[in-house]
Amino acid sequence: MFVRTPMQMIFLSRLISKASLVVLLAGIVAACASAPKVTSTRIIDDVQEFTVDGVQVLLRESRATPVISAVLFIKGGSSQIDTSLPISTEYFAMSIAAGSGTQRTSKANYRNALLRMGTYITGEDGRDFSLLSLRCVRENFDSSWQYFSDVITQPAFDQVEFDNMKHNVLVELGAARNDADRYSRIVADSLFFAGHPYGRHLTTEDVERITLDQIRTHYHSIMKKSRLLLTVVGNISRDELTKKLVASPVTNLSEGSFVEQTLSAPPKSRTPGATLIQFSRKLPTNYAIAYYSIPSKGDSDYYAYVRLRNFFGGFVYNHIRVQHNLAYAPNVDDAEFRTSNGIISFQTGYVDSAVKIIDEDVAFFQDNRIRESAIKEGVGRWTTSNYVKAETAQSQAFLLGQSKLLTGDWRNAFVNYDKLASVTSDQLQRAAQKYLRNFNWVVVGDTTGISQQLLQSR
Amino acid sequence: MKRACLFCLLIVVFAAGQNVRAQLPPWTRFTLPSGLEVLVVENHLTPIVTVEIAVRNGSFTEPPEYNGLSHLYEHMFFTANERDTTEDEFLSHVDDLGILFNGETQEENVQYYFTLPKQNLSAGLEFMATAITSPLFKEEELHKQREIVLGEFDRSEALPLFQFGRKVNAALWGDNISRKEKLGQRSTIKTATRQKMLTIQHKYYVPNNSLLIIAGDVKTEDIKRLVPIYFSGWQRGDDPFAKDPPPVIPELTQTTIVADTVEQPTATVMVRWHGPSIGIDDKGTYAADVFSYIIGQAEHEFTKKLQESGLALGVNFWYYTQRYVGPIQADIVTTPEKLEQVMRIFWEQVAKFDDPNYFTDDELETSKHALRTQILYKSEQLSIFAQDLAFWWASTGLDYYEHYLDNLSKITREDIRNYVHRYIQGKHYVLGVAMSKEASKTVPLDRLQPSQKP
Repeated sequence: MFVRTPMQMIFLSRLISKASLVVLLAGIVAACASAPKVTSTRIIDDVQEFTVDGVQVLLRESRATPVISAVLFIKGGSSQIDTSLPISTEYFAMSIAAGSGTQRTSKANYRNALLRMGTYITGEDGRDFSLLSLRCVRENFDSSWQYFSDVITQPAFDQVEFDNMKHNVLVELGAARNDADRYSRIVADSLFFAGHPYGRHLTTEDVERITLDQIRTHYHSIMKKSRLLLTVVGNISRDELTKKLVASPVTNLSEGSFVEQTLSAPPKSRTPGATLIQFSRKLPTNYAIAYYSIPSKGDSDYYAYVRLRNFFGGFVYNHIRVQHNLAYAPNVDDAEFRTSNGIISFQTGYVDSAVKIIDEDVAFFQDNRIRESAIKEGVGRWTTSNYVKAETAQSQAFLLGQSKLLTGDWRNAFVNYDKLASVTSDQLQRAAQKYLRNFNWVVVGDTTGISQQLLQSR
Repeated sequence: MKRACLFCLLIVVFAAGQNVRAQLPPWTRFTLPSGLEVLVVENHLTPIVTVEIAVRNGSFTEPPEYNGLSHLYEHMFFTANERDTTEDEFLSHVDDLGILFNGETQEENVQYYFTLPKQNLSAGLEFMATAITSPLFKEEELHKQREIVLGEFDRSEALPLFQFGRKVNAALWGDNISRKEKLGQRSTIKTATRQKMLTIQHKYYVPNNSLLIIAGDVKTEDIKRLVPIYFSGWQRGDDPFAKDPPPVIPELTQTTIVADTVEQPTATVMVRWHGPSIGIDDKGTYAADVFSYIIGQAEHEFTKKLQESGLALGVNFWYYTQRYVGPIQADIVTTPEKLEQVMRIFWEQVAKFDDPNYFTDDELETSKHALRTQILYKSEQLSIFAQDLAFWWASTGLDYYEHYLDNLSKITREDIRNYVHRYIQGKHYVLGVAMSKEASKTVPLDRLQPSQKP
């Protein structure tokens, strides 16, 4: 089947034609009565925020779950890496640190201990921040925390892990070119963020020149308390967590002087663009993807855009798949970072027809005012997805920390229904005019006959 | 639909059992007079509930002329029914109830699941009951869904290894391939008719061949009251397998090599054996899972020699639990220049599978400890856990699932040896190799097989 959120489906059934806006909105009003009104505070409202010896902490104490999840956010991410270093440095540093054992525990003993306890310690890089994550059951928290804090402060950086990862990444980079889906996304990302701090991407040359010494040095250079945010969700009290932190080497890390870099909009977001790539082998379908600029979490336009994306995504899905059978899974999504972007994607043999429909849908929202009662009454649909996102301790720990770093407040981790419901018709229309433009399309497949001019028209 | 990753399935395999039942959200089972089994899982962490229906349908019920139609039927579920008479109305109803929904078709089950706010539970149950019992199969919507499923086919075919996987599958299952190819065949989907949809409905979509799961912030007593209200009108049907059981899948009678050309820098290897079946060799299925888990440990020599050594980019050895012959699968990704060496070591390892010293008691015990915690993680995410419960119900029955870890703990070295002898060592297999045209000229296929052939 297919995956779709309710946010993408509003208006689906009511849309008869674009001229029938009054009928459409009347339908919405009538049909939304059962949507429950829930305020955001019901999702999570019991997070404690404090500092332990210079380490910033968010804690949600939950006795209902036997699992404890901790996520250590390291601010900066790959977008703020020194330009003299390979862009892959942070990617390698986080992965190798989490998989190598520590100065106190050999790799074999470390792996066996984690496996025996069912504990996971993982590392990953990101654009705005990188992560070290711990997931364990309550009864094994003491031992697991010991390993986790050792990984944070004194990882082993195993040569074999490094060599294998390097080899794998190089092969993977080569293989990506044969996968049209992955390739289209890599190209779209590279083109849209060219000239922006997000614009550096993994390349063969980049990976080939990286060394174990580089990643070790880089890792220790970013493990500074001014960069760290620890979020913990599970059955642990503030007192216990504080004692753990005080006793751990984490609070002995130096303070550092991290300052977040200011990010401006990607230069490519100011003009529309289209790149057509004839794929190396014959494909049964084309992969089309468009990037465009959207407001980030915390921006004043954020909720207006979120509401708009919900309507717009529903239109695109309904017109391309349900009404015209042009594509299996047309989708409108957001990539939420400090500099966020919208993504329209679909796979079809009829790119021009699908793009024309999208253009018409854009024009509809730019030219029409959506009635405010319709805007208000649909917001209860976010309830389910908010709660699904909050189902595990791990997902909560991530979302709370991510929101704190992107917006300055963990309370923005989940969609706020009140803010969503207070979006006005004017705000929605302005958001359409401001953001649904300058689409940068990439099409991979058999691009013969596809109109570049059409793709660049909006 | 496909599970997120095949390896996850292996983890799921261990995610249940009597030993850890006390730490799971409590569940209750009951059966309506119509034969509909109902499973209620209470968990009050978040105010949402997942309503799921699973049906014993899927490719295992499909002769060639129906191959792919269980999946098409799954798509039709999300269109018109007696209450919502168009797809638009159906989707509007979904919106109104705040439902996140999806469906999935596998070899031995088809599932439909809604997650919604608990306040809408009654309406959600009514919605599910209406959808499952009264699909209209409108011609225009059937036409539309045929095209959408073919679009899904297009998307799959664009993946570099899709056709390779199907060729290996075809060699493994021979004349019974339709029973194992859940996406089916283009020609069957193109020619699907409303009558065929009705045939599937009348034969398989009966309460005595279905499971209803309600998992989340609910009270079991409320469910016992509500379910009969909405589902008692669903009439019992004939046992779909009494007169028409799936055919017996014969053992492989020869070893087959499948060579395919894929223009990429890697060499992909798939080795497949016929493994144990639920109901015929349950002990073999437990042994298969224990053994796969042991050799998959990062510090076990199987993984160390193949992957830690840097020879393979990835190695996965696992058994897929099925009632009608579960395959034992080894998936290896390497580079063409290392392929021969990788396969030599792989077969050396296979030859050692029955060695009494191949794994330690500590490795066995480590697995058991780790498995206990897997279930906690799994059950945290109830909307997904419900899907796992449905998978096990369809292929193994819930009794098997409930006693799973208990039975795993009873598995001995002798059981594992029996499993290895009965299904792997000296048995015929399918060996698939995919690499670039250029690379395939330099790697002789006969050198990728064991020195002693079955």
